Amino acid sequence: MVYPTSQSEFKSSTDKMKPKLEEVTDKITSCKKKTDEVKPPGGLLEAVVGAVFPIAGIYFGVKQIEYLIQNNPEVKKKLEDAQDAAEEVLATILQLESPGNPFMMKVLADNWDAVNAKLTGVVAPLGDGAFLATETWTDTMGARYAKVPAVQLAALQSLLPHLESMRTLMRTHADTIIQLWWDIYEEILDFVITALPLAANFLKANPIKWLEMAGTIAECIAAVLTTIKDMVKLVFDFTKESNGQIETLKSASSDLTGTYNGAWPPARIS
Amino acid sequence: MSENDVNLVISDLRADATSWDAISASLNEGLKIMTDNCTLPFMTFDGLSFALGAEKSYEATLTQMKTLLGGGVTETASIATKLRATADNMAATDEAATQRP
Repeated sequence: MVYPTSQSEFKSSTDKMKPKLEEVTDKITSCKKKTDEVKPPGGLLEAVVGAVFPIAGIYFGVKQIEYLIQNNPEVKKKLEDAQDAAEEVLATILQLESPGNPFMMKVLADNWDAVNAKLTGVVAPLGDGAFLATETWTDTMGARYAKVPAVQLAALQSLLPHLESMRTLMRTHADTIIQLWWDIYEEILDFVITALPLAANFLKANPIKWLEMAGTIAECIAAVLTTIKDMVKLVFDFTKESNGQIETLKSASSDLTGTYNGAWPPARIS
Repeated sequence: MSENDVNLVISDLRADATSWDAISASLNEGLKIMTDNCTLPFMTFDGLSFALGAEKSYEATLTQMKTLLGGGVTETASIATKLRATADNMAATDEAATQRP
């Protein structure tokens, strides 16, 4: 499967999910309307048909309508099932609200990488032996100064795990959101491509075929509903997990080891 | 402390001050990226994550990191200033002692 590479491509596609699903529900409504138009054969109809068709035509026409009247409740039931399932697909998709902007999350992940590069680049310059006067300046002030680099390094190192968490979280979350939403989008697209012609064929088909066709439409929608519900659960579980990671990060931020009462430690020299 | 020792300390203090300035500048570059490019634009998180409070958590963490790192930028620059002032004082004291009859 080829996943989108830009937010515009991603958004323009995922924005179509709701209208496409609405198109399916509208079509099913039309199918139901068509079945409602079926009326029991009356004297006038028989008279008209009798005037136009030969005896055999009257016989088969009436039989066909009788068959239809007899099966119509079941056809209607199948279409109701299809409509309910299609509406549930739509409601399930709406539950997800919005896919957000995962490509912006990727940009943010890159920016956190840049912060990480800057800060990890400072670790060595703050390390042992990097400062000359810690050895040569030996009076009382010099002795205090000799302790300063280690304190500053500890403060810096307390920040680094949080940077790592931020950039990993944003990148992982973005990739998963793109993948899951795109899978749902393609599933809906395939479903719409299948369901719309089925409904269109229903509308122009011989009513004797309706029962079988309505059953196929209902089955098609029920199958996609199951798949989409599974995917939505994946999105939900993943989002919950990601949110948990953020909460952990936030909670870890309350560990202020390396800081001075929650602030960057001051350098006590003089 | 001998004249040579004093000159060595002064030279080392000035060298260290330059190092601390460079460290402060690097931390500041990191802070600038964090401030300019890590702020969360509106509607970045997906709807579910937003509802679960991801945006607030992200922003709280970012704010804390910016505050801490901002302190680091200031503190490391301040170390450089203190070392340079100490070196200047030592040089002045040494110069005065040399000129004393």
